[in-house]
Amino acid sequence: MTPLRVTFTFRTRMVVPTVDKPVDGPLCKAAYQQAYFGGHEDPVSQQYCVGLAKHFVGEQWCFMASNIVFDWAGPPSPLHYIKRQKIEDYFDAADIGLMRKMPGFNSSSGAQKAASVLTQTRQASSATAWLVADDAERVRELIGRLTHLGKLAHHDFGAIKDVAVEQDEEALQRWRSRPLPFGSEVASASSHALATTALRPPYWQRTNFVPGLLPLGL
Amino acid sequence: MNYQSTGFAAQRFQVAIDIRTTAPMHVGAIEKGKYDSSTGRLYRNDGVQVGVGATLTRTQYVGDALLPVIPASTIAGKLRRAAAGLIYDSFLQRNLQVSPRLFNTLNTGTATTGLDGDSKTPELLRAARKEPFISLFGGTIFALESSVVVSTGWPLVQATVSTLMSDAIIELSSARGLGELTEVMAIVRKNDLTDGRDTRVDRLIGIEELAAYSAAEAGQRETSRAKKDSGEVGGKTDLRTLNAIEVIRAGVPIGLRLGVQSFSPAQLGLFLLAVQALLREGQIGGRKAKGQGFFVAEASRLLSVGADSRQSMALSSLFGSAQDGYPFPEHPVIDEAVDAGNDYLMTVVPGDLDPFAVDIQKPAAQEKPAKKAAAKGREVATK
Repeated sequence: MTPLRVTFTFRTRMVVPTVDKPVDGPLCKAAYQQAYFGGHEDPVSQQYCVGLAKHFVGEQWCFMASNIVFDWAGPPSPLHYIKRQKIEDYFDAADIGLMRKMPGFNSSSGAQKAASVLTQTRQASSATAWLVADDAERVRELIGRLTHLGKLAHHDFGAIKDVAVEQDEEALQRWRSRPLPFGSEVASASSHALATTALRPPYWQRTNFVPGLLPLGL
Repeated sequence: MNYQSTGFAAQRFQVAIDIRTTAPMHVGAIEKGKYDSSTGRLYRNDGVQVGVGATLTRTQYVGDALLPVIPASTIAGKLRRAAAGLIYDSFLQRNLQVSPRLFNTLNTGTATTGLDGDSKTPELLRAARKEPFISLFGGTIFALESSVVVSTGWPLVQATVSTLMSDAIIELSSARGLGELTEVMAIVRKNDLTDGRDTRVDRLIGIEELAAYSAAEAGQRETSRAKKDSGEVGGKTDLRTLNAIEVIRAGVPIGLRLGVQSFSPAQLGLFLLAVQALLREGQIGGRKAKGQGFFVAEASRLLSVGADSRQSMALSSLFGSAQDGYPFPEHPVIDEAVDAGNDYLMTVVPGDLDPFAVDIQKPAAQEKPAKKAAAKGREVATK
């Protein structure tokens, strides 16, 4: 097992994460994308092939990879964007014969719902995570594929400028700062609290939620 | 679907286009400001009540510098609609029609607001990967991934150099901040009825009607003033208003940067054709009817991204001059892609895209037969 510290620096501002994010999330996404873009028959099945060591408690397990710790530079600022819906588009499409008739239009709900979204962005001077690798080369390969961290990556927020992967014995302790399976012997009452959480990516998916232990801070 | 190439390995590309505004450009922000014409100062959200109301242009920070931008979401929306527009043109040439669901899906990404990520099966992912439009822009109720990254359109100034996805191609502007990159324009709305400039109104409308109108206006002004004095919000009562609008000045260089993970020549070709259509439209932001938001592309590049995501290499220039309609140069990658993209546009039918435009709240089985027939993309008689 190889203890590693990963340090990211950024080219663009990040969308401020609303919850702590373990670093195995982006790695699993990179593994999925590599399989997807490589033409794999079932890319989702490859999402956990990331070269990270696993921490088991009974049948539950998580990757030995810490939450990402951000070093923020400067205050957050608001970012506003809209999902536009214009009735003119529908009129035009019906007029030129693209649609048989003009459909009903309701920009407040349903298919034509418009949206006005306000979020926060912030410049991070760096972001650091600690992990324990079973296959350090595979981890380095996937880290090399990462282009962005955080939300709105498709709008180039959180673009990674540089990544440093270094061996760091501290990772053998610090990987624990992450959601752990309930009953894990590496957690204590002063370090973790009982909560319902996902132990593996995708962390946002409610169906992944199980009783677990969330870190109280580094 | 003969547009699929078997020998095309997935590749990553970047497109760099340096544009220059040829007219004032305004992409409206949610924030409002105040413009004090006596000092020429624009106040941004700092509670100052001096001057007239001002609509601000969209801004973002780079370090401590607040700069005007073209938001990535604006560019991404235009690019998606440009690609959808190419498909619509092709459908119309072949007398094909689309359902409202498909129209929604292609234009804005989803046929409904409910997501169904759990239905993302391997078969669906394989189908999405093969379909050039869907693999480019993603979305749908299955929350499919987009293979396009659209960066914020940054003014090309010293402060933004380190933020750009790839280097600036044209010379940087020496301007440093908002005041030098933007200006404030006045919008005056006149009330021709009360201005009395048109001598025909007394005959056209009638003296009595005019007098009644003026009395009603005056009464409403009094009511509004009384409301304001008592602390309530009083509405505007006069048609004649003065507002200010903040715009990016004409002549500002702006960097548009796009990334694409390409699965097939057809997908890359559709992407390049959509970018070309966006440039040919040559307008971004509001007040198009007033001649605002127009730009020209002065230089462009196609770059290839290496195994390390952060290293790119220039392959070729990408578009010719604006006067010639931004033609593609001769280059093996571009030639193959554009040919395949055009083949795709000539052969795609609504039925290829309809499976991605389903609505979990209204399964296809519950639809009326006529709607089902429309969704299959059959030919219809020319109107």
